[in-house]
Amino acid sequence: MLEEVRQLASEAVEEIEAAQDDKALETLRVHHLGRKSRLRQIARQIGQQPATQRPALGEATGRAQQAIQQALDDKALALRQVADATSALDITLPGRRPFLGCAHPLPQLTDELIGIFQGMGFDVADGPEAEDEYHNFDALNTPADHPARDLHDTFYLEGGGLMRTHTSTVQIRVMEQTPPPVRIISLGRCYRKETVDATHHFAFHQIEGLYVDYGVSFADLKGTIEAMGRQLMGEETQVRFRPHFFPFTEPSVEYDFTCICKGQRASCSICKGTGWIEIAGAGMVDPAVFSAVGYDPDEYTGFAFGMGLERIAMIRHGIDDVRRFLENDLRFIRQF
Amino acid sequence: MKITYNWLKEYVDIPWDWPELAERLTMAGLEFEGVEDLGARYEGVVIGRVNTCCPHENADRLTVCQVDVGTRVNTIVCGAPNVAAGQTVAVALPGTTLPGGMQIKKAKIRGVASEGMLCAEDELGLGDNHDGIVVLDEALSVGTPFAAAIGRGDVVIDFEVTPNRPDCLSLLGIAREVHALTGNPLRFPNAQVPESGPATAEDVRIDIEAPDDCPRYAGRVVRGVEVGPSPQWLQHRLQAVGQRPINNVVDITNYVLLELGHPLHAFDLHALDQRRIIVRRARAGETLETLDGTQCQLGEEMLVIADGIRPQALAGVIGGAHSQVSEATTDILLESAYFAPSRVRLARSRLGLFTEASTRFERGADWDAPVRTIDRAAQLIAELTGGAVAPDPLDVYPRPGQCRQIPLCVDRTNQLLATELDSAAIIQILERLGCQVESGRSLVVTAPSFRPDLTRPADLIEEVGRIYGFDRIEGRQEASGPWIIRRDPEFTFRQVARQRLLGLGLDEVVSNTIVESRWLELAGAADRAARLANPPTETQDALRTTLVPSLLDVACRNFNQRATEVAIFELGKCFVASEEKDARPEENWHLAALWSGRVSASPYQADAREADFFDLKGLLEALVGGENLHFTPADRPECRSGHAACVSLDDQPLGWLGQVSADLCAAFDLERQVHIFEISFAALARHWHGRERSFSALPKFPPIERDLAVVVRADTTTAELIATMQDSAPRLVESIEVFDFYQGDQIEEGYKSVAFAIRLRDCEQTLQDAQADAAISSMLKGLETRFGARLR
Repeated sequence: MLEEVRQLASEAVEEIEAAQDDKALETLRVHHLGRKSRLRQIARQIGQQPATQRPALGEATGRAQQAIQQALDDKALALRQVADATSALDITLPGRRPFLGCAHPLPQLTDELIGIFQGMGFDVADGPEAEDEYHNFDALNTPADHPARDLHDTFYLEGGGLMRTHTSTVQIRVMEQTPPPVRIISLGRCYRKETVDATHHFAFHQIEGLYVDYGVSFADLKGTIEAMGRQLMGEETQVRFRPHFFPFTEPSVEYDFTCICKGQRASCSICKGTGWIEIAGAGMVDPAVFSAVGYDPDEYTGFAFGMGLERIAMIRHGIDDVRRFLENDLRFIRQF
Repeated sequence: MKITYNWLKEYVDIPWDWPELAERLTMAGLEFEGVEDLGARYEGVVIGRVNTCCPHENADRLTVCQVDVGTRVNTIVCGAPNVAAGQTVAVALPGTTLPGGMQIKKAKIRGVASEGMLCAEDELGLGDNHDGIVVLDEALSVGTPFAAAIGRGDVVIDFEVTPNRPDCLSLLGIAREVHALTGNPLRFPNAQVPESGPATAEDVRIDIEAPDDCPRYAGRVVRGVEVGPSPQWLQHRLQAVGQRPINNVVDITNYVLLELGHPLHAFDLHALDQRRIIVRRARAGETLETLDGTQCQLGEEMLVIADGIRPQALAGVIGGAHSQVSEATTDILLESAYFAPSRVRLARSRLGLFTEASTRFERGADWDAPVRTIDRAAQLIAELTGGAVAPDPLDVYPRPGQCRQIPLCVDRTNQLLATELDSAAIIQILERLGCQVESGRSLVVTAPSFRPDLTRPADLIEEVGRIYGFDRIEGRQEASGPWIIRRDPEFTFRQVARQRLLGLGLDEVVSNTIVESRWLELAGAADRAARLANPPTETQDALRTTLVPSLLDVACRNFNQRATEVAIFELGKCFVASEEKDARPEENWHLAALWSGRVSASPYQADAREADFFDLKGLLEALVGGENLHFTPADRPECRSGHAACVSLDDQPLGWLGQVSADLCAAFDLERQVHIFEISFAALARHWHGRERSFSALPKFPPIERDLAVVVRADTTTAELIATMQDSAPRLVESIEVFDFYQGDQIEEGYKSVAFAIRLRDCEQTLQDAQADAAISSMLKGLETRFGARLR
């Protein structure tokens, strides 16, 4: 009997190793280890054998079962490996991609600027694009015969009103409704009657900033613009302030950022080798503006700044033509 | 404002080379715009000395010269009759292009190799003379560049002058800025006039009838002038800064305008009827032929300089042709005045005449300058034309100008600029700018007459800041305490909406708000459009009332560029004209999406369908979220009939969704089917803002899922079926989803089959199969009763 057990085990292992597929393997498992298998019959008969033979027989039966189970497991693994190998994926085939949209560079920049300025404690305000002369000019210290009105060529609406020429109008609207202190930015579209070419468009976007409180100084303006410059154009960005003229600020400045070329390339197309890129205008709020909105100019001071978004986006992404922003060629938009 | 570096040096010592001058002035508010090297046109021309001179063997009129050009001695063949050994000459070396365009090359002339050319006046662009070569001063050293040797080593620098600084539209004004920055003393030009002959009043009488418009008018007579070309130096200076020389008298007036910045004019004295000057408003119907030959129709609001009969000049803008100085002129009246800025602005804007004079007057000229100005001009005219200046100039001055006194607080100045300047430093800056300062507890500053922009303390603080240097002020970045910002939820929701749509696969576009009226008409949305009085182009004249045409236009452009699908959205403002008179148009944020073309980005094993109504509907549902979105069939002018829906949210109108009509597609050259939704962003933001976000307990008991397929008449809506099923077993229904829809051969015509996956759950206990069976059969019963539905 002992001999039979050994014989059974070695036959089973041999048959298992020769099995061709999972199905054959399952048949062999039932045949060799199933309830009706010869091995199980022997196991059930051990009790009827002489006591001296029982331990050896029990041990041999157990070992045979183990060996067969091991052979089954090994063979199952081997078969699976072969099967997997033949059904391997060409993982270089393309994935099934859902669409993911691309944000237009201008709203992208808008979001980024809102983030930068909210981080500095500025609230975001909105204002109308169709404005009246008062908010676009008069309240901003630009009366009807002021030479500065030459700087703007304005679109007028039939039946009165105009399209705002700058976002500075929002300064007035916010201050009219809010007592100081005020710390806001406003972003949006502006309009000037310009001939459209690679660097000019009659519709463009601006950001406006305003901070009014006791004791706001030119140093606060510089600090704010410098912080914006670094966050927008990189940590190494420096800012310089040149005196300029705007009717609604006094002192007025224009500010420049250092160019990406660091002034090292005379042929640089962005800064023309000067090392500085003209960005936009800023200044301390003119007392006449405070008077127009009912703030006491002796008590409060403030700064305001503006900036064109197209210009920043063009510099940052190396965009060659301002008209691309409103053309909405998806091959353009998908680059950002 | 163009100046030359050397010209500016006549009025003040400049401690900097030109690039540093440009940089310093830029940082003081005169922005550097560009530079032109005047010497560049003489590149390659050097000073040479003729060592020997021999006749050419093969030509009678030619001479072969040995010319020392500094680095070597060149053999040059010359045809000029006046060439001689020992002369100092201008040599154009091979490779040079002369100002007249002539190119100099090495060449064999009648068998002799010639290395360069000795230049005549015309070849150098210095004049018309071609009789012989230019013979120069012997003292010039051989080999130096010609431009430097003759004092043409100069540069023209162009500065941008802001409208508040009319005083900087002159050499003297810019010299004043250099003075303010350096303290180097100013040198005023010579205005010592040699006078002779009868008094001015013998020849001319000046009356001002409109003293508010013309507070001052000064005149001088110069007799016996010889009108002719100006001397070379004067012509060169005018040419350098872009002006065309005319004749000596006119050139001098232009020169003095550039030098001192105050406009002036020379009349031919004999062309003035009755030898009178009357400053008055124009009379209705009067005309004036201006210097540039235009006939101007004058209006009563315009100020003119008239003689005894007719206008001879438009005050502060331009002179008249009749009394202009010509070759025949012998006696002139030089005039310079001060005009009210608004009067000049009005005339020049009515007539569209921008002149050097109007630019200065309308920005505010110096009321103290007229006499100085005509004195300087008279001095130059006497010197350069031989005229005799009449004594006792006239100065009619009915409204004397007054310098403003402005108080300035030192602390306030330092506070605003974040500086720590003492009053001495502030006084020094202001005095160098021409102000007079009385110091006391606060400063009292008298602004000079040439600075009309200085009227208030803030203006003076700016001056202190810019001369001190804004770059010397340290930027401050420190928080002064907590600052609460009032975040407007609409801004947050704009970002949420955009991010969701991007995630849902739409590209974002930003299109023009000013559109063609025709577009709005096509979309049936032109009724309340606001229109521009002066549009950018004839057709592009309306503010958009809807985003639809703009998106169609974008789709068309992109399909023309062979896009395979266009799936885009825009979140932007639309405008509706107000019904009240003179009120601003209403502005509303719209959100619109357009989807046309294939639905999947990958061609590989992809769903090759074209996007349809339900693709865009699903996208809108995903965007809005929640259960409160309702769609009802709608008829819209821009949509295909039977393929449009009106969308409401929380029972409030939100917008619409539909397939764009074939006509509207055709108008935008779109051949594929296009679906669009357009919604009110304010309504969406309101919904998101008001949305409850309270927690409800997660279910503890398992659900039972059942399917139910029914056949109903084709005109029964799915929404009605679902509502009926929900009402039939209200407590147990968790969700009902459509999983199949069929209409076709397998079922009777006029009917459709809809299959639902129903999930039932009891929140209080484990739901039993029997209960679920009862719920399903009550649903079926409800469907049978209301719609005659049959189980499929």
